[in-house]
Amino acid sequence: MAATKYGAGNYGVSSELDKGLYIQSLSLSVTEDVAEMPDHLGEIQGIVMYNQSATLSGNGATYAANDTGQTMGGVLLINSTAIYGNADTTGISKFYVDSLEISNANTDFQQGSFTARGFINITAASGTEVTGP
Amino acid sequence: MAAKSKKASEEAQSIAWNKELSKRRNDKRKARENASTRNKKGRGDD
Repeated sequence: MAATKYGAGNYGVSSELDKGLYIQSLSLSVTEDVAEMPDHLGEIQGIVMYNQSATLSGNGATYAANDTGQTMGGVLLINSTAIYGNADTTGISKFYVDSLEISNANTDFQQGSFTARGFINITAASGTEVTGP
Repeated sequence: MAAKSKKASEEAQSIAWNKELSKRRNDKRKARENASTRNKKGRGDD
């Protein structure tokens, strides 16, 4: 059943059930490198911000046993594209899975989590196998 | 509409790639496991 909101605020998280998790949380962090130009007193007189990258992580109960729904080393597949298609992460459109975790506990449903990274100039929807230089 | 179609096409490409990647890794894991089993039998210490 749908929840009901009264008043302001952005509540909840979009469903990711068809992607493999009963999602409970989804978070995005974005960073840029900063080149600083200090003067003779060590005070910054200019900066350049560049090389934006972002990390997206999520967790929730698994839909299928022992499966987060994501592929290690693969392209992240989630429904909540709005979380990274906003002004805070301009240009980053693809995330690549660099960490997966499954955990069992005697008092909880099986939990799955993922972390994926995105880079400003990498938009590939698929990769190629690298076997050497 | 075109943007939606491009997104669907990219997602299909990513799904196919993820499957291929997963299959390659599984095949390599099985090959390693088979090699390990053969070695154990070969040593006769089981």
